[in-house]
Amino acid sequence: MAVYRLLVLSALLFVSQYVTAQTIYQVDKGSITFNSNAPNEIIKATSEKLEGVIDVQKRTFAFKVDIRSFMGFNSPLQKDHFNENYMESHLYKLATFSGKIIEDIDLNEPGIHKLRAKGRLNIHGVEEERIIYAQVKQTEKKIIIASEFEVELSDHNIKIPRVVNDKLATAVIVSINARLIAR
Amino acid sequence: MSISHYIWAIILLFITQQSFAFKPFSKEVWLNETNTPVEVNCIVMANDGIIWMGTSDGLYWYDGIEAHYLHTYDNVSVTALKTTKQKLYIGFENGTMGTVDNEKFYPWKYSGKSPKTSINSIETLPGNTLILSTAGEGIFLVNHNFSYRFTLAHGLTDEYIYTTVFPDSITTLTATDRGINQVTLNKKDPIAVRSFTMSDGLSDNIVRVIKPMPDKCFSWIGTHQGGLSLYCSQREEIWSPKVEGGWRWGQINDILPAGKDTAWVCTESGYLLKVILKDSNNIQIEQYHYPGKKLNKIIADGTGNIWCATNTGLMMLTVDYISAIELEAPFQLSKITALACDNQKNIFLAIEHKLYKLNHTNTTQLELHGKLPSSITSMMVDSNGTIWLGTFGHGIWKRTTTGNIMKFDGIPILQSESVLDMAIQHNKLWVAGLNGVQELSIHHNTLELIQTHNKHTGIGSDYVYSLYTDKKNNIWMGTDGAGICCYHSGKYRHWDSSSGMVADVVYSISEDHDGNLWASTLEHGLLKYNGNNWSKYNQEDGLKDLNISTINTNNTGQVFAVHALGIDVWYPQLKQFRHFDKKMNLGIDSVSKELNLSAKDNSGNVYIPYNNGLICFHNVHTTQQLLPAISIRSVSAFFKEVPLYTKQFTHANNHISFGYRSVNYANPQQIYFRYKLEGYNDSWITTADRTVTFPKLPSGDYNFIVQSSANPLFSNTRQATYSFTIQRPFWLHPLFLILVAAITWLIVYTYVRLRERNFRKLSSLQRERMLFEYEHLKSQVNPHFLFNSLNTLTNIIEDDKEAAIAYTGQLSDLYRNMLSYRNKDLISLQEEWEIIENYLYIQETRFGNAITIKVDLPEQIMKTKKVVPMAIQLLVENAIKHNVVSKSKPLNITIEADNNYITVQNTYQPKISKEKGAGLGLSNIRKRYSLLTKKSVSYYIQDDYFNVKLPLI
Repeated sequence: MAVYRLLVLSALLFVSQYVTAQTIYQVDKGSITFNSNAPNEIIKATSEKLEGVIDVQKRTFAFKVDIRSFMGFNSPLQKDHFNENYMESHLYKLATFSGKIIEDIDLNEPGIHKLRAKGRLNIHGVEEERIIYAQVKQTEKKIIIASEFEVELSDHNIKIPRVVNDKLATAVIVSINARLIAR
Repeated sequence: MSISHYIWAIILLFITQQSFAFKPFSKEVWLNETNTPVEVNCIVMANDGIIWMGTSDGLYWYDGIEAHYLHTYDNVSVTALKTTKQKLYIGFENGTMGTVDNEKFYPWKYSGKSPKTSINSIETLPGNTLILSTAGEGIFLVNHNFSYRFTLAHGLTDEYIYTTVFPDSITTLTATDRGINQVTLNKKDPIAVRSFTMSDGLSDNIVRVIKPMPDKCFSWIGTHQGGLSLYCSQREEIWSPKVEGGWRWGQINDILPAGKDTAWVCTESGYLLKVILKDSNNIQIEQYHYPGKKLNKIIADGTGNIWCATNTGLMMLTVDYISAIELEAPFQLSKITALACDNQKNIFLAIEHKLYKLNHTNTTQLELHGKLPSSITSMMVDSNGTIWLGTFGHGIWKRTTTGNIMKFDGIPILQSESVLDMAIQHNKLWVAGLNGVQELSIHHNTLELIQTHNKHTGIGSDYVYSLYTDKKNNIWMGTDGAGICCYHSGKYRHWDSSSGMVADVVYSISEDHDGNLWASTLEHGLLKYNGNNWSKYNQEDGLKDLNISTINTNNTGQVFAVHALGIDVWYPQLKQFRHFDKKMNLGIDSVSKELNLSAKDNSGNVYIPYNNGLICFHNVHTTQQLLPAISIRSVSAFFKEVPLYTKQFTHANNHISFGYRSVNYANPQQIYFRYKLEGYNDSWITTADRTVTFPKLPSGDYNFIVQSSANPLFSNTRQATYSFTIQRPFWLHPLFLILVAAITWLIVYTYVRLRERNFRKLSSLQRERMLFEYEHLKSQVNPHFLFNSLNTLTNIIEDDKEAAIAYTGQLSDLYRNMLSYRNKDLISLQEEWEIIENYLYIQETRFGNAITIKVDLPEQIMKTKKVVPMAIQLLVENAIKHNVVSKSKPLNITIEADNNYITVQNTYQPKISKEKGAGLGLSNIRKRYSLLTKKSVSYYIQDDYFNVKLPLI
């Protein structure tokens, strides 16, 4: 009987530990893409090195991406310009977004939610308070996030030389897809 | 989505279009001269009427005329403002705070923790304590002495705080990104939190604004994407009332409660919404859209306007009291000839010879309702909806409710009449034309002429510009040349220039809500008849122009007068005109010159055409503050500004200047000032200046009064006062004068007294001296002395001839000295000594060994000190006179002196029989000394020695 009790107790302990371990989800596979749809040129680049975590219990999150990891420009020169002239990635290596989830939704529960992430978006060393809409799907201890938002270049002090005015949009569309698994 | 949803959407679109047509007039205020946009984050109105704006560019203020910049910090955005009676608090995006007092900026110093992030709102608690809501750092409770921060650790559910409000005396609510926290902010206890989120009925977790309604029972809640919710503090409950079609106006930035159940809401997407709470679960919304604008904050200014902080500057909106119905072609101000309303609030416009309808459900589109052969000059709608039309040269027409337009034939005088005006009186139609006034009865589809009224029947003129039926069924006629005529059951009453009423040409007549009859005239302004007599209103009362073409009235007593410069509205409760003209920059640039061109609907709203369509003056009973607020801004002495609480000026600081300011958002350009300085000049001085200087004010108490008014008559004013005192110079102060007089009197009195005393002293001294001399001489010629002296002389002549000669010499010296010093008050001890020496010689010679005299007088004292003449001699003489002098009992006399006293001591062996006059000499000396010095003469017996001490002077 005592052995049985012990077994139950340890099983309970194990379960509860298992539950608490599920509060943090980490990006397992993530990509971020931006589109600049200027009249004369369409630029699109993607980074597969999106990193990030979500604390499901506290409903907070943090994401980051290395600017230099963006690939798929129209030409290598364009990538150099992107890194050196616009993003100055030697100075501002990362783009980050961290903050909180507004909706009181339990992300441990399976389902599809449309929610708002409010936090500070840091691009090019300039922080801006943003509310970003995201679609979040929870299945089998995985969270899949999809989001699309606009970034005004002027908000982050990214200057566009007049020469390329019509080749670069004043706002780029950023889309994110990430899969997070419980840590 | 089902078909019904689409149908609903279309219906909703239609409904919103209705409110679209009534549009507030608006004007934009640019904050800087270059007209570059400045994002205004927050806006407050101070007690003195000044609008303060916190912008991305710093702090600005606006006085109704222009915007001014007030420097705070460079490149730091102002994110929150709060006014109290005394102060303006300013919160910045970097968490710093400051105050503005009398247009000067003072940075705030935190004592303790300070926020490092944007301050979203500032609230005040008693005792100068502030509650700061910060963007991400929780709530700060700060004071000059402390700073407390409330965070997640205290139980807040989120630290991004938009605002903190007090719906009632016990509740404090904070709006956060994760719902509303009901909190107790107490520095001692940890914060007590109750949280409300979407699961508690909130329409969205991001709560951006909470505003208690005026009765404080409910509070409006504005959210990021969920629209409005309501909070009831009594039940501590939150719910979200329904909006038909759902919330579609974007993020709520501010809410302005406007009376019970109504509020104005502004949104990030450029909507200004009038929200009416139909019942606790349903709201109705009227929307006004300003595309491209972000409406950040709104305030009301008390004159019916709403001021809106936008992403480009400041915007004023005339809500609720006037609005515009903007009309496209064929509308043209110069071509509109007549206007009328039916009892369904449809508006009919005559544009030349065409009749148009403006449907109350869609007031943007003019519907053509018929054409006539010539231009329509006059239009009436009767209670059945039939439109009566008067034309130029083609008589009377009517349009039935079924849409038939027909002319009334059969009355020859009207066949080709040019109609000036019409009036309906029960079943009668009155028509004024070029052939006088026709009184017609209406019979179904025909008109019958009852009577023609003209110059001959009693109107006094054939030309009647205006016909008006009052509530008592009188017909009022405004004539060209014969003033006003009132017709009732066959009788005419007249008022013209001969009967004291100044005007003979009357254009328009209307009766106001209180039964007064108003008439507009050529060149003589407005006239009002109260049933007994006429009164006049002209420029002095604030009327802008005297040639008024149209008068109308609404159901609250307001009177509308249209003239070439715009529209003047008379507010009877305020006894004040308010002007609407192009100076206001609202887009009201011109109005029609046509006579009697206005309409009133059955709710009392008045419509008047203007350059872009129609102005609707809503039938609003106003308690608006139309009187210009006035405040004294600065006080200077010799052009140097002093604090406003300075009430005392020195007599030299008597050059006083005042600066004052008046703010009125009804007619900001038109403010009259007058002032007086009570205690200096008691008459009012009218001025256009905003400063006044009083040089060289004499000392005294003053009261400076400055009044502002919207009319040059100052019939209704507000005032500001400033009492102050110019102090008297101290030498004119009564206390000082009394003091001076008292001191002078005291000096004179003392002088007189002293002089008098000296005289008395002198005379008594003289008397004493004379007495003394007399006594002395008497004693010197005392026969005993002489007898004794001569006896002695006789004895020594035989024995020693030489000694006898010396003795005689001494005796004569004694008498000479006594005579030469007797007149003096004081003699030196030296001189006295000469007398004594002579005297002692004589006595020693007489008594031989029976008397021994010891003298110890230092040389220094002999030269410097003085005594009363013959005093010592007298003492020695007394000693010899009163004591036994014999060989067996020798008399020892010692004379000694120190710096202060000379002492004469002798062995005390008094004679048994007292000589006559004993003690007389001593008291005489005493008296003489008392007149000369305060030091007293004393004598005493000690060890068989008699001592007398005389003071040395």
